[in-house]
Parts: sequence; C-alpha cells; structure tokens
Amino acid sequence: MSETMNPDSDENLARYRAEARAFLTREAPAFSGAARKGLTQLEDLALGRRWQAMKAAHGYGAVSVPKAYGGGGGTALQKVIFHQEELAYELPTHYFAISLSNPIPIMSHFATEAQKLALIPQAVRGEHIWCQLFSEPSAGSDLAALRLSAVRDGDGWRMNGQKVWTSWAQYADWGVVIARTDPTVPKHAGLTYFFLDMKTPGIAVRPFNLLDGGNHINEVFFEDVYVPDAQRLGGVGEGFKVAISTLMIERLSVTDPWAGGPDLETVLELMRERTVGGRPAIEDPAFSGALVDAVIQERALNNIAHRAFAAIGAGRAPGPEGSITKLLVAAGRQKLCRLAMDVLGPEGLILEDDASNRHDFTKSWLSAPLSRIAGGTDQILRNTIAERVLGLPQDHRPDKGVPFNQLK
Amino acid sequence: MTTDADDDLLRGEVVRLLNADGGTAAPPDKALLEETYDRALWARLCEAGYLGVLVPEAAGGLGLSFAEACQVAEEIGAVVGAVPFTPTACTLAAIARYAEPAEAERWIGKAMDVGTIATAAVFEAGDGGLPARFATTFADGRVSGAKTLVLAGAFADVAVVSCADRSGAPALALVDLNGPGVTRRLSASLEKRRGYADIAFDKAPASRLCAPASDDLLLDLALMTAFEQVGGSRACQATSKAYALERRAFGQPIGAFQSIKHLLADLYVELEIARGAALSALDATAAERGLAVAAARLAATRAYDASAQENIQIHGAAAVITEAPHHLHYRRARCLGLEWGGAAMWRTRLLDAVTRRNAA
Repeated sequence: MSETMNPDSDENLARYRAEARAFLTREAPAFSGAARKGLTQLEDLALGRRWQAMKAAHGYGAVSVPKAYGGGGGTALQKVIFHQEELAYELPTHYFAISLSNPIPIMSHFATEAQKLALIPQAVRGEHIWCQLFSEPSAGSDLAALRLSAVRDGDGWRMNGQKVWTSWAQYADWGVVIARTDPTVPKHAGLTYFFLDMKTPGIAVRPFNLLDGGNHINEVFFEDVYVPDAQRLGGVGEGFKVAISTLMIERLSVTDPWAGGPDLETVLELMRERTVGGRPAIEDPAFSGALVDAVIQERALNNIAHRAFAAIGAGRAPGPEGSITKLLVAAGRQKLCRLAMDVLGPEGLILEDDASNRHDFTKSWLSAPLSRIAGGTDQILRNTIAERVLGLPQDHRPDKGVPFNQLK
Repeated sequence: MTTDADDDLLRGEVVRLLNADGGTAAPPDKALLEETYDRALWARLCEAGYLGVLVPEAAGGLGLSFAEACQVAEEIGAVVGAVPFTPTACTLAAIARYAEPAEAERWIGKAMDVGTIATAAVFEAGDGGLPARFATTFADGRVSGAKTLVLAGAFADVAVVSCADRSGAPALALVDLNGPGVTRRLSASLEKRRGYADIAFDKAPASRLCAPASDDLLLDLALMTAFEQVGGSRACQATSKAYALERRAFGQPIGAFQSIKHLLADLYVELEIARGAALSALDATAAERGLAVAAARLAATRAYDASAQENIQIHGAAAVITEAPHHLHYRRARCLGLEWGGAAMWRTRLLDAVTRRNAA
C-alpha cells in the first residue's frame, strides 16, 4: 500500500491552512483581480513588490526559507499549502515565481552564510528579483550543451556568450548562471554554477514578445562580464549537478492541476450552458468524453500530489510525480481549452486584449504551448519517466564521453 | 478533369503570386495586430482574375473547376495568406449562380475590376452551430437580425446572409454591406487580419438568392477551407521536418530521436487522411456531398490543429515568440477550424448523414 497524505488530515497543517486563508481573506483583495485592472506592467510590478513585502512581514514571503534569511521558517508542505491558497486569488506573484522557487533555494543550499544574509532577505521581500540564466540558442533540452564561457581572470571569471528564454531578466537584480569553465572535458563535466549582479557591465537584456501577449522572456548577452570567484556555487565543474537540483524543484512546484488555466468547474459550466445546433454541448460524446478524462486526471493528480506531500513531509526526495504532473497538466490544458473553443464554435475565436489566462479559454489555449516547453518539454519528461522511473535504456547519445570541444 | 500538368501550372502561378513580394509566410509580428488584410496580395490575386475563379467565363470569371479553386486555397493556406479568398470565391460563385442577373453582373464586375470582397454571414451569437431556424429574417426585400464572427465582415462589401423567410424556411439574402441598415463592429479575435465582425442588420435592403438548397454555399466554403487547412498542415510539417534535420541535441539531429521521428510520422498520416478526405469530397455525388464535406472538414481541422501545435513543440521556445512565424499557423489553424462551424457541428452533420444513408 502506498503512502498517501491528505495534508488537511494533519491537525497542524490544517491550522496552518486556516491561518493562511484568514491572512489572504484579509489582505489579498487589495492586491488581486480588480485591484490590478488597467495597471501598466511597471505599476503591476510595484503592486507585486508591495504584496511580496506584506507576505514577508507575515512569514509567507518564502515559507520554507529559514527565518534568519527573512523566510517563514516553515516546512516544504506549508509552502505548498500557502501556494494552493494563494491560487484562489489573481495576485501579481509571477514576477517573483522563478526568483523564489529556483535561485533562492539554490542560494540557501550553496551560498556562504554572509551571502545568504546579505541577499536572500531582499529577494523574500520582493525588493530584488532573481533570474535563472540557463538555456542558450543551441542548448535547450540538452542544457549541458551550453557554450557561455567563463575563463579565469585573477580572483574571478570573465564570461562571454548568450543566454535565452530567461524569465524576467529585464527586471532582475541578480541572476544565477551556468557557464562552461572547461571545454576540454565531456560536456557535463565542464560546467560551473555562479550568481551575479545583473547590473555588471557587459550584460545586455532584450525582451521577446510572446505569442500570448506576454513579455517575460528575454535574451541576455554577455560581453566580458566579470564575476568574482566568491560568487561560484558548488565546485568548479559541478555546475550541472547544481542545475539539476534546480530543475527538480521547478517540476515539483507545479501544483495547480490546470496550470493557471480555467478549472474543470468552468469547463463543465460551459458545456452545460452552451448549445451547438440547439443541443447542450455536453450531449456531444466527444465533449463529455473529454470532460470525463479531465475529471479522472484531476482526481489522480491530486492523489499523486498528496503522495508527493507525504514524501516531502517525511524528508524524502520527491519521486517522479513532478514529471507525470507537468506532462499531463500542460498538454491537458491545451487540449481542454481547444475543446472549449469547439464548444463555443465561431465565438471561440473571440480574444479580448485584457482576457485572463484563468478565465478565458482562448487566451489560455494561446499560452499553453509555452507550458509544454518551459521547465522540461513533453519529450524530455517522457524520457525522465521512461529512463529514471522505468529504468529503460537511454536513447543513443553519440556525444557521451566526448570532450565538448571535439563535438560536432 | 484536368491533367496533373495543368494542376502544376496553376499551382506554380499561384505560388508566384503569393511570393511576389518576398513571401507572406513570415510577416513582421506587427502585421498580426493590424486590422486589415494583405492589400497588396489581394490586388495581385484580383489582377490575375482569381476572385472570380469559380464564376463562369461567360459571366466574366475564370470559369475554373472547384477542384482548381481549392488548389489556390491550399497554397494560400500554406503561406498563412491574409486574404479573404475562400469567402470571396465561394460567395461570388453563389451570386453568379443564384442572384438576379443585374445584381450578379454588378458584384462580379466590381470584384473582377476593383477587388470587391464578398463573404457569407451565417452564425448567430449564443450557439456554437446552426439553429433549426435563423433568428435573422428576410421579409419584403429586407434583412433584420444580427450575425456574429462574420469572416472578413469588417472589410467585405457584400454578403450572402443566412435568414429565415416569413414562413420560417431558410433563405439566402444578398446584402450590400455598405448600404443602409448595416452596422458592423470588428471583433477582438485570435487573428485580427481575418476581419471577423459582428454585423447588425436593421431592415437592410436585400435580394433573395433563388438557391435550391441553402446549404450549398456553406458546403463549398467548408470544403475549400479544408484545402486551406491541408495547405497549412503541409507547410507546418515541412518546417518541422527541416528543423528536425537541422537542430542538434545530445550529439545528433533531433529527428533521430523517436519522440520526434514518430511525432512527424503521425502528423504526416493525419495530413494524408485530411488530403484524402478532402479530395474524395471533391468527387462526391450530390447525395453524398454533405457527408463527404463533413468528413473532410473534421479531418482537415484535426490535421491542422495538430500540425501547428506540434510545429511549435518541435521548435521549442524559439517558436513561442511573435518574432517567429509559427504562432501564425497556430492561430490560423483555430480560425479555419471554427469559422465555418466547429467540430461539434460537423460531427453531428456527419453522423446524421451516415445514419440517413444506412437507413435508406
């Protein structure tokens, strides 16, 4: 019998949730939904910083970060619970999502005590935003193929190259970066992890326009950027290991079964209210069948999440839950939103400029492709499941063991 | 029946027209936000006579077959051309066939000379398909009611409007959209270049088309659109394949990984099913046409949605930015899949037709 855990069956966690809910009921409305209507991105970001500071003052800024660094000093489970409760609102938290869920945990693992004390509290309060400089034009799924070079220079390193798909780099004060410090060894072995001040001379950031109207991803260019060796995280040549621990965190943090899109209730309501040719949409077996599948998936994923809670609660590393969940959630949202557009017929093509991901099927469908790519593509997730969970052999990898500078 | 050589000649000429300005497949990202069609391409198509592709030569058109017109549509689909070719070609053909001669002469002449845009106004708000009886009415030479998401409605000059007549029977009415009693509002939509508009008719002067079956025009539109969808799918898959060959990961082209290789093979199968269903609908007998067009439309919608969506997936993050052209297919696939009625409507039509046939 597998171990599952409904977090609310634990009295302490139930109390934690009740307190979090009371805090949100009291404070969140002034920062959420209607409060954000019509704001420019800079105004929204400023509101987000105030919300982040408010949370930090109450121990919710970064729930599982120790109090000494400005966090809540709570557990990983409490963090998930707060996040679940926060999802009931439409709060400007996305600017801080990467910052607090990836670089900050890595910093709290690998940075020196002085660095942690100096930098983490500001990130928790939303005064600083951190970005994660990983992908490059020729290194996406194959992250270890990255080329940005870091060459020894006195007490530090000189970096040259280009990063891409970097979320919120345009507002970031600090970044974590993986660079190639030794091109003469096989690709994984030559990488090293650093953090750096984004205002360092030689860094240029250029935002992209996303297909759904968003602008959070950027290209970042490095020209002779100096980074002190004191800002290295982990050993020289150990960058990939550090990076993988970040990506595992990223996959686990997806806890919303509809990935920010309309939830099942909304879909059900649509299918009951809308007609196609005078008949309720739900009478179409293709629609009702998809709804049935979505109900099954939501129930199972909730249970899988509960088991992940149990693992985290017991202090174990989370298993394959993150990969399964991300694979199904991202593709599931794309499919369900497309179906909802079918229910609407030609009116499914309507897309207002201020449509929200949470409530509008068309908008949510338009932003779905990004979720199937960012933080691990569907294809990579299937490999993770097949290879790490099932123990199947890897695909043929001709680059294995070959020094990076001898690869084609 | 035309020969393969004739087909190639026609296709070649269309492709030349489409690419005369360096190609419209990758317009600057701002073009998507523009609320108008590609006027330069429209002018070239007009000059070459393609607006009247289905209008008999005697009536001033090119008099090509429906199959040939569909080849033009397929090539426009392949480059995500922002021109209202399908609604104009099909609607003008209906006007040529069924309108009063003076009206027909007037609109065909304008289309051939100055590129007048024609469309069909079919759907009404609140239902994802077609009602048993349209709320829009035709009586005493006037149309009253409201249509929604009319393709090219924002810039069309003339529309064939699906109505109910005084007795409740379906009727097609020809309305000058620049005339009195017509109010239009551009819809905020997935692709503004399609010019979807809500159009309100308040006793707008109209003449009735004496069409034997009111469905003919919708079937023409749906089938020609299926060819646009086939063209779009084909183009997406060509791009995907080229990228799978060129992009390397883990020391080899990504096309060497079965996850990508099999994905492309599955998409290709979908495309061939869509093409087969569409071509077979061209040859369908009148009795079979409803079924055949529904099958073609459903298969084409499925193929284009999948091809456009997986084209982005195969390209990764490079394809989710508007600086790259892939999102144009992604949007267009949904536009084509919904603008003449979504999958649910065509599933019902297909099922009804199959059941009727088997009962007969």
